[in-house]
Amino acid sequence: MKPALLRQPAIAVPAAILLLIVLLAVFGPWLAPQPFDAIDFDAEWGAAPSAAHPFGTDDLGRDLFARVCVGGRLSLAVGLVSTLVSLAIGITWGAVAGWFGGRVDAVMMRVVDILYALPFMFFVILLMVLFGRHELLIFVAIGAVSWLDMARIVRGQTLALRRQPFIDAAVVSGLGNAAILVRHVIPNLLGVVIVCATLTVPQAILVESFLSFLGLGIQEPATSWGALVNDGARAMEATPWGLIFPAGFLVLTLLAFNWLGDALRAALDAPRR
Amino acid sequence: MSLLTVDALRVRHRAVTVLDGVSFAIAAGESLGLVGESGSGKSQTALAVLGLLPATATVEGSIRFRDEELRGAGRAQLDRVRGSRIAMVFQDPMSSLNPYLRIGVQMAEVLQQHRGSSRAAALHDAARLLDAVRISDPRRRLTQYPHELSGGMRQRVLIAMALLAQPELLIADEPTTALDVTVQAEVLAVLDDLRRDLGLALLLITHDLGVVSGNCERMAVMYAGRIVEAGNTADVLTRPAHPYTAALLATRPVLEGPRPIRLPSIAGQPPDPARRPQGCAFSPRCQQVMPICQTHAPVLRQQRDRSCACHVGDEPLLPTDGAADRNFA
Repeated sequence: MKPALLRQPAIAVPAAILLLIVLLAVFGPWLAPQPFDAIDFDAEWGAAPSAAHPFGTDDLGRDLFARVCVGGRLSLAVGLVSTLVSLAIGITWGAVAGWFGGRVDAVMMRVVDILYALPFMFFVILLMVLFGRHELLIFVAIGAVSWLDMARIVRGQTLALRRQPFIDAAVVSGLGNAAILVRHVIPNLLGVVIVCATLTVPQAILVESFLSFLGLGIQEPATSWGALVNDGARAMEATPWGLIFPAGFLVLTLLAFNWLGDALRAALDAPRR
Repeated sequence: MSLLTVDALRVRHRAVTVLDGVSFAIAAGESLGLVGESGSGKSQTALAVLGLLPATATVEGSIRFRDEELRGAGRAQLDRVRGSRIAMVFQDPMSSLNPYLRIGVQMAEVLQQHRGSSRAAALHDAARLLDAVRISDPRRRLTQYPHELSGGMRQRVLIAMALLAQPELLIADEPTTALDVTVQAEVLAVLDDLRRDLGLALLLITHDLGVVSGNCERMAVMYAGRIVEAGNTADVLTRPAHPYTAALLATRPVLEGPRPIRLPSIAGQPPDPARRPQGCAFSPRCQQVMPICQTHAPVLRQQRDRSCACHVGDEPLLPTDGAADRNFA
């Protein structure tokens, strides 16, 4: 990233927020008073935030600060992996389909349609039955569907770009398909790709929360923001901090990603005239 | 031996025939102006030569470049010819450069592709050509993005880019339409100089008779997907043989003498390509229309270095078959 971009507050502020959250998720557990899965038998169950437990404890007496940090690791990892998958597969798939058009396009987009039509929960349960319950399956399941939107959007943009004179100019200068796609088409997709990617991150985090909520995702004592929110919501009248802290981090992260995506698109869109 | 020979080129988009037997030839180092109003098929001709028509178009006839048949050629064959032996300059300099790539990178790409040059060598050549198209401070321009240059500069960059791989034929599709008149003159002067220096053949597509008269040795006039008249530029402009050419010339504003209240124009509209009239396509607008014009399309016939497709002035002659059509413009 160019340093000039970081001087724009609309980019620097959300980037800094995200950096802090990532640092907290990575290093936070070492700062916590006890490991995330240990029970503090001296503390009350569901204790309010205090010096000993900055975010309070959950209904089993586990330190919530440690649990929010550890949960963040999984939620952020899910967001990151699904975004990388959607960038890698989605852009390639969509750009190739849009560029070649005709039968190639028809076949490739029907594959996307079929995956879309497949009920997601059915797909996840099928994976669980086939491979047993494993953390890795969350990534596989979310990764498998996260690139579909990207592929569709990229294909649409590629179709529009194909009619641009500079693409014709690249064709008549004798460049091959691969060179045109990599040098001329994909860089011009950057704006929509970034927006789509920043939407993919929160979406994946939410899907993981949903899977965990149904008991198909992460299993105790391991946790994620989604699982923590779920636990906290059940006892929110008695111990609101159990909901407030994980939900606060979730919302702040999603907000920062959306904000960053919007600012990046505005900054990276090349002036055309 | 002609460099480019287009023979009986016919292009259809589904049921609509946009080119209806276009034939012309360009010799090495020669400049041919292709003139006509919007929709007459000028650009379609250029796109057909370069294989840029959409896959749904039907192309018949022959497009020979030296000894190579380009009609129906595969992508690999076209890629060897395009850019390195035939280059093209597009109409709109604003959108013909990739906004995300520096000028130098875009220019170097062509040489890296066709000559296998290193990036450094390619950039060196690019700077040399920017200098040739009279762009100041070429080294710095190479590091700039398209939006940092003016329209005239961008069009010159496109010309430099087209000439990088030293093509034998340059196709320029309305290269100056998007530019204002002073910049237009500058760009045309650059193009003309370079053409002479490099011995380049030029196919210049325009609707501007002034541009043709200043830049082309020969010209061909298109109407409704056909060439109606062709010959030496000066001859055609001073002694037009076809009523359409004559009518076009009559529409030019006069700079001397009493000014007419309205500029003269050709009455009527060019025919809808989907519903061309029977006979000569110009007959509904022609001042000298004869009964035969409405039943039989005239063929392009050559007399010395001039060809014309019109019944007027000919001994009444019924067209035989396609054979007479083969006279090249």
